[in-house]
Amino acid sequence: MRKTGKKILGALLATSMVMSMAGCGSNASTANAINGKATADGSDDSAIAADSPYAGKGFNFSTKETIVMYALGDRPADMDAVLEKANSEYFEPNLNTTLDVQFLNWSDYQTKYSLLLSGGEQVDLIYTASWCYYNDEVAAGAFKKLDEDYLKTYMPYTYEELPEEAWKEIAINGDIYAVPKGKATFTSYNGAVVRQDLIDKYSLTTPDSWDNFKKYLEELAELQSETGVTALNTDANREQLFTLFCQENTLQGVTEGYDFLYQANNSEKAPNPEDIQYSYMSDFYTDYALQMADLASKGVWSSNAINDTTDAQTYFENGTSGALVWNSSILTAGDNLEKAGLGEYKVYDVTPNTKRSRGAYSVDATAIASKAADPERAALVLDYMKSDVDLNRLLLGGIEGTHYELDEDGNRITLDKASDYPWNGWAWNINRQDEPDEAGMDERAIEYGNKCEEMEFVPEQTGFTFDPSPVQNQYAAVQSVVSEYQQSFALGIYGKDTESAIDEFHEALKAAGVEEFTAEFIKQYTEYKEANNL
Amino acid sequence: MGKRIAKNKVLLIMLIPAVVYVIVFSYIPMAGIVLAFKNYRYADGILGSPWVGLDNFRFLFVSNKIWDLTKNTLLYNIAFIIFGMICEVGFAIILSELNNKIFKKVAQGFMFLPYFISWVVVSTIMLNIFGDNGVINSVLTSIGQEKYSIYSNTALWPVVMVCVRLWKQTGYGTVIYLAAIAGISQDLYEAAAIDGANVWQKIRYITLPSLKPTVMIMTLLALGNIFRGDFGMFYQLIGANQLLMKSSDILDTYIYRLLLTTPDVGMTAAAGLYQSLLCFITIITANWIVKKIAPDYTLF
Repeated sequence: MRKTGKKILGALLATSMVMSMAGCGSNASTANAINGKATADGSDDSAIAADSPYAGKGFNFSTKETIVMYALGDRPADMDAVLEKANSEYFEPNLNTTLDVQFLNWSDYQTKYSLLLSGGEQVDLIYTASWCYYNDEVAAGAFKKLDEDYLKTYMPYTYEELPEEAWKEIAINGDIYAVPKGKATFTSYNGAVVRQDLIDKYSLTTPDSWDNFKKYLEELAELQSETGVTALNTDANREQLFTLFCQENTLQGVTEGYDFLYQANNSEKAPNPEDIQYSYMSDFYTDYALQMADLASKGVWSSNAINDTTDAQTYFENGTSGALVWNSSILTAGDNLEKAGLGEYKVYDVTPNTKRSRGAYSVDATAIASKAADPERAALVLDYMKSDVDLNRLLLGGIEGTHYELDEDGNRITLDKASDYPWNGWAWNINRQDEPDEAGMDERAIEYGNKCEEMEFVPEQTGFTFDPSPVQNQYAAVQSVVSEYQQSFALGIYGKDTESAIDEFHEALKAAGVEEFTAEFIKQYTEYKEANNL
Repeated sequence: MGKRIAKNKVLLIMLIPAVVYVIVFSYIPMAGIVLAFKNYRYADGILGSPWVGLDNFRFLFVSNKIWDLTKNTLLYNIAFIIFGMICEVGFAIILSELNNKIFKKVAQGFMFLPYFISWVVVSTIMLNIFGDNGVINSVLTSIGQEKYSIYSNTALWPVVMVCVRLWKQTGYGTVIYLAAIAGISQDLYEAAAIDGANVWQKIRYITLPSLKPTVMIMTLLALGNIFRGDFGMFYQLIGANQLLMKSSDILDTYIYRLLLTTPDVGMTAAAGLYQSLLCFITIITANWIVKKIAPDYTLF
């Protein structure tokens, strides 16, 4: 009896395993018509308006479909109202499609992102970026490859409008897997927002250079018991000073997403392969770590910042931090500080002589999931969102007259309801070059923006992308070592032992295979450089 | 066979939910193990992705970290199991010997309370007590002493971790042992009392031996997960602090950090399989040893 029982159990297990495998294997087919004809099959415009920008282009709109798009961030309170307007006035009459936007919150997008693409939920369009798994998901085959013909056919307007370098930046080994945004801003250049009221009150050093900024922080740290303000109140999730340090030393990243640096000295020339260093193995990094340990020992930030997870921007906004270093979002932080009546802010360019590059177009993009049931319809929806000015503004900033309005110069004025649908709250991956500026911008913000435009810098190797798959194991291991040490060096927790900690860090990196990883990177870069005659 | 099925029809029907649960959530996902040996690509599906042999496991060994991590995970769990058991059994006996009903209930309630606090909250409480501006340092500075931070004192952390763990989990374990003690026949205690046994003798000769099966089962169950660290606890309390990671980084947090930076389904599956294999070996060995010395208490 026992034996038969075991046999039955065995048979059951075998069946269930086979069944589950079969279930996994069956999604390979690319047939996309769920209940009718797919957009790519033949021409049928009967279901859309005659004046639709997509009428007469040979698409099949006979079936009504729902396209699901995933974005990062929190769902705005008025999202439903905006979607209803977008659907009833744009998508339904002109594409016979309903758009649904879902959100991945900042707090858990890292854990959900991959699961979403590998799981069974409907995902047609999804936000991606060089910092948001673009390379990894492409390597895993999660995104549909978009060749030139496909783009010309299914994204006709966007293909015309986007600048060529945008397509170049998003390409991996020449293949495009996502559609970049339409407007590149200086998102990767960092400045500092500081407490001007404290500078005036205690006549502190004006933080207009890297050394003066450090002096300002040190002076403020000495006054902490009097002011109750931590000089640079920071936390374990934000590395505030590294980008600034790189700017000070004109260190430039070779490509987005991988930590390879070279000293550009404000020259746009592509670096020689031998001048490229892996950031964490370089002498610059050692210097940085020592400077951070020095700042930490002077009490510039709390000694347990490493175990703190409250966001640093919050600290500046609630008046407990003397500075915040980040991209142009420091202006928002300063604004919030003043709105709360807790102090007066001023923004400083700490590295005024360094040229600055625009963030790549590829830092924000939209991909079509390879599991999308009708990728052609999804492509049309994306094209429409990006190319129709009115629809684009509706998605970016809400309903005109409710959430924002435009003044006679074409600048946008924020209305009372804007907090329920803030401008650029989630749709920054579909923004356009002609996106209206905010009217009545604080002069400090205008000055900061102008300075960036003046010092623009476009390195020649823009467009080079790295494919880590030949050294996937080493890459994964190196990344894990970096993630273990990075914040600890940034917050200087080793104090006097920093140098020996750096040695240990370098040993760990070598053990993880940083040399093979670097060699592969240099090899691919050299090939790119030669192929493009740089 | 058919006769026996007919006879136990009701019992078998009652068994169905549990069997279905285990098949759906434990056996069917087991097929996913194949991913550990494949370079998973969404477009090709699980079966269509190319085989890569043991490539996915290499990342675990390239940095030589795996041994430290395995050791940390193992030692922490052994400490949790041993000290946990002592505290749980101890408190269960103390509670059962108490006569004041109200005090007993209140004490039990307070012991159980930390179990419901999430690790996120625990880490904040810790920071507010032991942190730079926490209670302890405020007291120290007010009486003119130097500040002291346990967050930079590596050697102390294994003790801190065990203490926090005990504070949080003891209440829950105590309830299980209390239930076991309640199940001991009162006749035994009465007979012992007539023979003139005192409280200690009753505990030594009746309570403890009667708890032996429960202790064995609980320990065996805990052994099954000995290579699985308490992710929430380590992730929240240690965070990104590399000083503490040296002594308190475990397999789970390492794998989490690793795959957060390079999401690769194959590598995740490989790491999971490595952990499961170790757990499997431990539990088979432990059960085999128990079978040799006390065959009545085996799990299977």
